[in-house]
Amino acid sequence: MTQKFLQRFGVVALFVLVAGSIAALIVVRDRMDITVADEASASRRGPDPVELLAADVAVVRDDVRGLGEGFRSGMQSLHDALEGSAGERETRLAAEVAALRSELAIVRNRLDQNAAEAAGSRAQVNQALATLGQGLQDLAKAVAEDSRQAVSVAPIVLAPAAAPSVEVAAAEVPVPAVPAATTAPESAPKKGFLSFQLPSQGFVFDQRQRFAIVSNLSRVGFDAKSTLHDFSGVTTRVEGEITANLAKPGENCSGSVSAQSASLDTGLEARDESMREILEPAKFPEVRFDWSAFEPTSVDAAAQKVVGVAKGKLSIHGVARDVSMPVTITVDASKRLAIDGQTKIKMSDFGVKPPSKLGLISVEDEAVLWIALRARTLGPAADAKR
Amino acid sequence: MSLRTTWIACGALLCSTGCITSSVVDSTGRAVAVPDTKLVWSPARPEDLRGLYESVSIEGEVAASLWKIEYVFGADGSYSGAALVLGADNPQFQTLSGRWTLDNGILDLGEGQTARASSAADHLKLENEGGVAILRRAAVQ
Repeated sequence: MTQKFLQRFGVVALFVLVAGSIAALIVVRDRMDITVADEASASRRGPDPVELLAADVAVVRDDVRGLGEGFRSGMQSLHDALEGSAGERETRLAAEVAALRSELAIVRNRLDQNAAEAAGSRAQVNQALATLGQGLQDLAKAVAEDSRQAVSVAPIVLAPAAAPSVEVAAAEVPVPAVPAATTAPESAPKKGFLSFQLPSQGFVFDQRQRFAIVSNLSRVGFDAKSTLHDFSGVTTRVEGEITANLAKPGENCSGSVSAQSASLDTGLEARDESMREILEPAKFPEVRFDWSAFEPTSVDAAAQKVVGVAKGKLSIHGVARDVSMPVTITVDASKRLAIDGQTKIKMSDFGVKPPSKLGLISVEDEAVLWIALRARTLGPAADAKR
Repeated sequence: MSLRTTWIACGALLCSTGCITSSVVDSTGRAVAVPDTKLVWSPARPEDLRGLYESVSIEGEVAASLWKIEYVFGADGSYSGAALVLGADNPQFQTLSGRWTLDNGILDLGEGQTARASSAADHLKLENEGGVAILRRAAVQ
């Protein structure tokens, strides 16, 4: 039985082997080209592909080795370049730092020199200030001496009496002039007053500036004598502007002050009526003084006081005449100018006939014209700003 | 007119001169003056401040540029003020508002602006190192 099985198995195996071979042949038949050539033909067909492939692999290996070496060389060059640049930059920075140190040393030397010079200048300034202070004291003494010796303008002595009723708009309480101990104007910055922001500069004595007449605080008037009794005519309807440098009042001082002639009040309605008939306010509404020059006799910056003679043209009833009026200018506690002065005039010089009643009551031709002005600064004059 | 009548008229005229006083303004009193009100100042109390005030006097260095002040102090602690301040060429109004407190006679208007406040009859005096302002109670129109 075993022999029979082996026979059958051998037959089957042979059959399977033949069938598999036939199937394999069928599968690869289209992909296989079998050429049978002799030895000489075989040598003519070229090198062995395996050898070529090996040669190619060797070439590629050499290329890769070359690239590696090139890369290594490049990296080395880059490294060297970077190291060189850093060194150069470091060298350049070091040079710049050295140069800056050198300049700093020069600046320090200059600063030291300037500080030394400033110290010297400060000492000189202090010395000059001390000299100036002494000079001012001497000047003040001299002025005081002069003022005691000077012949003052003779005041018109008149009996004190009740002032005529004058309209007084008391918007501000006038205050007396500052005492002689008042210091020079300050220019230190201020933050404000009662929450209001104010200009940093206070009142400046030594500056060419404009001053506006404060109408309700100013009065212009005249004192006249008559055979019956003396009287004054007064008005507060005053306006005008003055431009001056109080420290140098003799230089280019100018301005004008005008009063409404119709508003002159003598305290008696009948007298006022007579005065208006003479002054003709409808025709000549203003009594005007055009201030063209000032001759100072004393200027006291410390006391903020100027005394001198104001010169200009006085126009009354349409007639202008040159007049000189001694005036005193002070600065009060409210930083207003107080300008007080008087001069004698003749009514007939201005075409005004002194009034007379029945030849019994007559007014003297000569009268005293006076001013009591208050003025506030409007700041530097236009030509002072330039 | 008879001679007798003339003499009587002249006599009456001469007698009348003694009745009519001179009205010449004294040379020392020519400046505008207001009645010398004797004010007795005392530290202001909060109830003294309430209302509208206008300045009647400003003295000190600030007066060179500060022409006029008005304040209204409210009972609720608020205030508003206006001031006529000399600018570049002409005076201009500044206005402000804030809250006020008053402690021991020191008026605090905020932002560090303080002033010693005193009151008298219908008057208020505010003063600090910059100057002194006297204000008078005013009526709202």
